[in-house]
Amino acid sequence: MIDWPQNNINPDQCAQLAKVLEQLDSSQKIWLSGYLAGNSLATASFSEQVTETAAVKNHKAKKLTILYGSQTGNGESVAKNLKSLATEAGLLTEIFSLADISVKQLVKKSLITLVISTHGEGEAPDDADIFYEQLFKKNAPDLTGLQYSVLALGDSSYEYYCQTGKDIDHRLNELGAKRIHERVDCDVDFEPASGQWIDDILVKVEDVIKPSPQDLGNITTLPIQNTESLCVSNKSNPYEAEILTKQKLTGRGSDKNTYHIELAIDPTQVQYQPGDSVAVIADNNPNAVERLLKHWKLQGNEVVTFKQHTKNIKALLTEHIEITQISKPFVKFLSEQIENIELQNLANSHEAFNAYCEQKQLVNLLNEFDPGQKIDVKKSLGHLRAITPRLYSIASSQSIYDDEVHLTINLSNATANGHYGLASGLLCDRAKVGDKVKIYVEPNKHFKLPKNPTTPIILIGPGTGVAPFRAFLQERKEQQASGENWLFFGNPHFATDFLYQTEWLKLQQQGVLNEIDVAFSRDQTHKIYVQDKLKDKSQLIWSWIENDASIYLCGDANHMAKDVEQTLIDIISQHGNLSFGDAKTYLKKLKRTHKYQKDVY
Amino acid sequence: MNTNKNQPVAVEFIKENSNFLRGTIASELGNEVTGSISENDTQISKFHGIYQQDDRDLRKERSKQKLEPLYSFMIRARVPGGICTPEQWLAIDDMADRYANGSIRITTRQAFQFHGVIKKNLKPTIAAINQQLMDTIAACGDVNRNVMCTANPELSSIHYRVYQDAKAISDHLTPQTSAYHEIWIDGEKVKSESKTDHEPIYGKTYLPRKFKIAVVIPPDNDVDVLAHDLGFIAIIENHELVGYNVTVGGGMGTTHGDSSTFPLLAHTLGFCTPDQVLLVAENTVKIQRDHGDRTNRKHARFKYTVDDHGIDWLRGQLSDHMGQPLLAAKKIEFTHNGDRFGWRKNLDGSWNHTLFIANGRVKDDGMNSLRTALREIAQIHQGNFRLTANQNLIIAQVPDSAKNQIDQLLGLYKINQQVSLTRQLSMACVALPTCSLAMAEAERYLPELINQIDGLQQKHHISNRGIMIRMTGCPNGCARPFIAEIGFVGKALGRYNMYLGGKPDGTRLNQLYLENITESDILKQLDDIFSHYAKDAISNESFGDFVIRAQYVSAVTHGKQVHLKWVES
Repeated sequence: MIDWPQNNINPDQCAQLAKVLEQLDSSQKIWLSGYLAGNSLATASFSEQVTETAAVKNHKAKKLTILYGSQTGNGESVAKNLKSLATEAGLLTEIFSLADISVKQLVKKSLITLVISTHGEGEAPDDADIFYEQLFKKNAPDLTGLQYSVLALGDSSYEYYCQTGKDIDHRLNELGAKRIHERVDCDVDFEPASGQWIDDILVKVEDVIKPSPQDLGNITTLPIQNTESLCVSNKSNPYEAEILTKQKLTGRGSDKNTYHIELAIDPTQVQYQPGDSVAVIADNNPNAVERLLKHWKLQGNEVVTFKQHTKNIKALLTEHIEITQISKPFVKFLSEQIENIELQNLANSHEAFNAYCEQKQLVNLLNEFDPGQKIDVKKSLGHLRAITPRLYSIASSQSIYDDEVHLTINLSNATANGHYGLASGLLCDRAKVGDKVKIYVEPNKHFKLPKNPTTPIILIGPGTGVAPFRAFLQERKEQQASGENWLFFGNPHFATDFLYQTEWLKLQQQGVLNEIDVAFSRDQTHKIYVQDKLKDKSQLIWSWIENDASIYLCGDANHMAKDVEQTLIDIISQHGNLSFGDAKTYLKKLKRTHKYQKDVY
Repeated sequence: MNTNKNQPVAVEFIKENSNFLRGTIASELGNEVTGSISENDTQISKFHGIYQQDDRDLRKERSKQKLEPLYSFMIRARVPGGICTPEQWLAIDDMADRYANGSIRITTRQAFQFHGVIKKNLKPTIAAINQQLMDTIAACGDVNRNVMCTANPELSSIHYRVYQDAKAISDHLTPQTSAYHEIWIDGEKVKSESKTDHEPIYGKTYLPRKFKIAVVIPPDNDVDVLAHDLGFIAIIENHELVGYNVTVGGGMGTTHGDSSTFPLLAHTLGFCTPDQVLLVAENTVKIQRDHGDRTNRKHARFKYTVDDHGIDWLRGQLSDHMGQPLLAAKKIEFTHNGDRFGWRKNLDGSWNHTLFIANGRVKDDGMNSLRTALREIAQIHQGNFRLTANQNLIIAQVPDSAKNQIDQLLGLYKINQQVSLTRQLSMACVALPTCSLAMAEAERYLPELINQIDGLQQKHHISNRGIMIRMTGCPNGCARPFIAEIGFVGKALGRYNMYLGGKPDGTRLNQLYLENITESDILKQLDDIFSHYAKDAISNESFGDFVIRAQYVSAVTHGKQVHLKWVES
């Protein structure tokens, strides 16, 4: 029986609560704890009642506000991890996506932690870009009195490593907020650093928010056993999915190698929604591992330590160390050890580094610049990254494929040295049908079908960006959603690269796909892309937008997404009779109201 | 007179509703989501000379890849009498690379065929063909097809006179609909309210089935005149064309196992003067339009109309239409239906060189530079080219002074190599991978099979006997296999029906000898029969005659006897 603090809850309420709690399983209790503690939107009537309690009356002074901006879900997972640990430690917390909070609201907060990733050329993740813009406006509010710490996620192979995190960190300081803990920049293998940051934050935060005993009442007494539901697979407890189908989608003569992969899942352990991603945990290619062992003249059974894992080197190279993607820090490290002009150039020029990494992997780098293995394995290990799961947008709807998950994967052309990407190489090349791969679902709540099935949707997904839209359309068909569906697809060649062509044709026949426009860039002398098709249909697109259509964009972030977004702004400007700036604001509004969602990478 | 009470077949309604061959082709061309056109439009597009096909080698693979079949189109350009200028040849050669699969095919009806033209290239290709004063309309479909004419122009002035009649028939029977220009050439609808489409000869449902006409100059029968719905056999007296014997009711197409279908050779109907040619042609077409069977496409060809009603009925019909009966036919004689290879001199002193083109396929392929050679010849050639009914090519009317230069080019590209007599006479249809009707290989396989047959002929010392071998991938008969001395008609991959006993002048059908046999069966049978032929043939006895005398098969006098086995069983 729970020992309720009598000063807050009367005996009647106690009995009622106890009765309710008895019926809840652990995951429901976890949810409830979060709901009571944070309740981010504070609109539900129940939450209003809760805010009346003494425990949260002084929340401005006492609450830890956890913010995150996340593209792939990593930032969100760190933020949530912090939240559950802070809650466990008896702290009052609330958590927001940066998409759901404005800079002005920060004025009312006392302590924030902010987990933020950086993408492409130093850009904020999609759910944070409005927040970011507000923050850098001239009229941004004075934040004196706010305390904060930033955890920046990034990829050191990019020129603007953790740039958004750095920017926000500086700007908060500029606006008068006070750091309680120095910013931590995390590379692709973020977990050790982010874990450390959480530990440090918890200590510092406790100094700032000293929870009074009575405040703990309705929080700590809830039995928190596990931050994850027991049955659902997750990162630390991945699901072993059997490969059912491995089918090349691109036809003979194509420059592309795009595969359709079907994995078998247990629906009680793996659950997903259209728009979610699957993370694939892959081992490195044994051949590449062998070549590295050969380079270092190792047997493979030498036991070493790499980021808390002490194992034989072969196992480490296979399971833990990133060897397909060369990291900038490693190149920098190497260039400091070895005098070589070309290597210096790689370390200093981003263009050279990028070009090199497109073709080469770790073993090539070492063979090329350290043939005499001046740098032994132990020295190298400290500068190598941990392997990270690879994310793929799910291409199926679970309402149709209950026990399957489908992926659409580009097996990038083997590099000159015969290497493939980590997970694409595993799924599309090495693994056979019947083999198992470790996966877990990475939800993406910012890429979801409209709740209202009558809402029309416009799907823009060239290349493998079309994957989630296969899931979307399956789902809409299954729902018998009456809203119209419009797909834009593009790839180099019609004859060989029209991914899932026969499925679209069938959906078109069945009346599910009301409009489909395709752009095959290399089938004529001048290149035609999806944005050109959008332009061609601008009048109709505008009428769909006016008709409350939701717009979804998926695929390449660097070029396509920018061009498409620019085109959307042009369309809004032209047909809505708006100035360029107003059209931009219009699109932003669509974004804020979730009428425009992106999953770009 | 149609006694069949069944409903007209679906295609009849498609034609009727097509608004004079428009269908929805124009909008289907703009549909970028598929490389195909709608099913109804595939029927209508044939009238425009376009056949939708797909690479059947890739069908299964692409289905797994969730890609539609690799659709492309065959485009057939009409070349009445097979005569084209060097400029036209060069333009066709250019189109082969620009829009098609890099090859040109000379058809068994003296037309050009492109394969592998994708949908978005249809319009530019057809426009380019028309720019060269050729067209594609009525190259396929239920209308009169390319009009054939004897290609051997040794009697130059007579040939030209007869060719003009062939051309006139072609022009006269060309569909009048403006849909063709509207879709392919002008691009936009001809906005003339007063002018509506009208087909004075065909009507809006056109013919029940395709209609084929050939004009021949005896003693050559290179066009196999008796295999056509309507034939004109030139009668020449004192080096003057006096008129034509008119033949009716020939045709090749059959359906495997269906004894109600059979090939037929034409009957001679009578004689007409040169000025009656168009009248005869137009009225014969009209009789078929009104009396052909529109309820069953397998029974819709003119040959069945003639066979069902009898030749006397037709004579009466034509006489009624023309207002007078035809005169009595003249006596004629055919000697052979092959081409005469190499250099031959014309009466006017110019020269013709007939070049063997294996199955009519003109392409560069590894060591073979046939297309390049012909392109270079076309660049210097002062005469014209003739596509023969045997899918060969005549470099025609070469002045004496230019002969050496042509010879040098032929030698340079080594395309003047001697091939066996049997190979010279051989013919195969396109079949796999593009033709949707094909059940077995033909063009890709016959050359290999002839290697083996050449070997058998050598073994039995009968290489000096050319044997006419024809192969088709299905029983529709594009390569006129039922006239061959040895005919092979595909049943399934690697399996053929084997026919024996055609006459090498094109005046007798062959007969089914063995059904559904493989290459090893074929070779074993031919080994035995060749051995017999080598031993027992009377001097100059053709292989076709021999197999009848030796009772391998019997002499066929009516097409129903070709598949006697089906009737018996």
